[in-house]
Amino acid sequence: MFTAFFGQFYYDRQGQEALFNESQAQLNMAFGAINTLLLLTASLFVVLGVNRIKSARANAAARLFQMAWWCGAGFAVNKVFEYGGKLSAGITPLTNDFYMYYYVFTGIHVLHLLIGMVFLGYMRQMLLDERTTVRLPFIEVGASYWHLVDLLWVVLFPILYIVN
Amino acid sequence: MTSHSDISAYVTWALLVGVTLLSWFLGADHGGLFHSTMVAGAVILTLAFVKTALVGQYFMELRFAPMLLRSGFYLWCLLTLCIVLYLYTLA
Repeated sequence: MFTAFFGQFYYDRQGQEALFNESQAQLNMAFGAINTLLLLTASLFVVLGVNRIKSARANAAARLFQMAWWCGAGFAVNKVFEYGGKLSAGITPLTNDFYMYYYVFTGIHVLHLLIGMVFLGYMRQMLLDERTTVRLPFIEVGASYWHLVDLLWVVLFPILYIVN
Repeated sequence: MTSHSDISAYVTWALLVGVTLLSWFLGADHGGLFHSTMVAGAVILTLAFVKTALVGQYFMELRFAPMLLRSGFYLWCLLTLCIVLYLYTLA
């Protein structure tokens, strides 16, 4: 599905490269780069957290998942500022094809990020609540889901913000 | 004590950050280094899929996964990169 998304973007770009390039130039590359660093750092915390669980250090793992959650929150706040700036400048999904892709791709991504943050919050609670049995497979699924969110952004960032 | 797995996570993170900064630089450079925005773009796209492979291999722990799953993931990375590069360079 993601292959189709990325391919469709470049397929539709043909014949309107100038429009895509001009639209892309209006994006702030720093927003995208900072968000990439936030997600990569969140993923690092998640990996370290899973490692702590494997060495029976639940509290340390919970702290790391909380730090990952904050990185995710930083990404979401950044995105609110970015969307706010664009919308207040009158740039909407209907502005042109580039911005349709921009809003749809980043919107789908941020929705998955928010779901990932719910996972992270639940994983943290599971570790802190002594009445709950920590289920490592559940934690590993949550961690993998988070990394998938990271992985998609790793491709979206250059496609939308950098490559012209 | 820092485990072997922690060290590999730190090294992977540092590599991913380094490649991100390199991509950012190449994008801001507008193809100057390669004397072509298209070549720079192709390099940046390739780097993006190298990053996805690193995330899969070391963060998602695919290096411990069955060969079939690992091969499927790398095949997806390669196939998607080829399609994206083909359509990008057609322009």
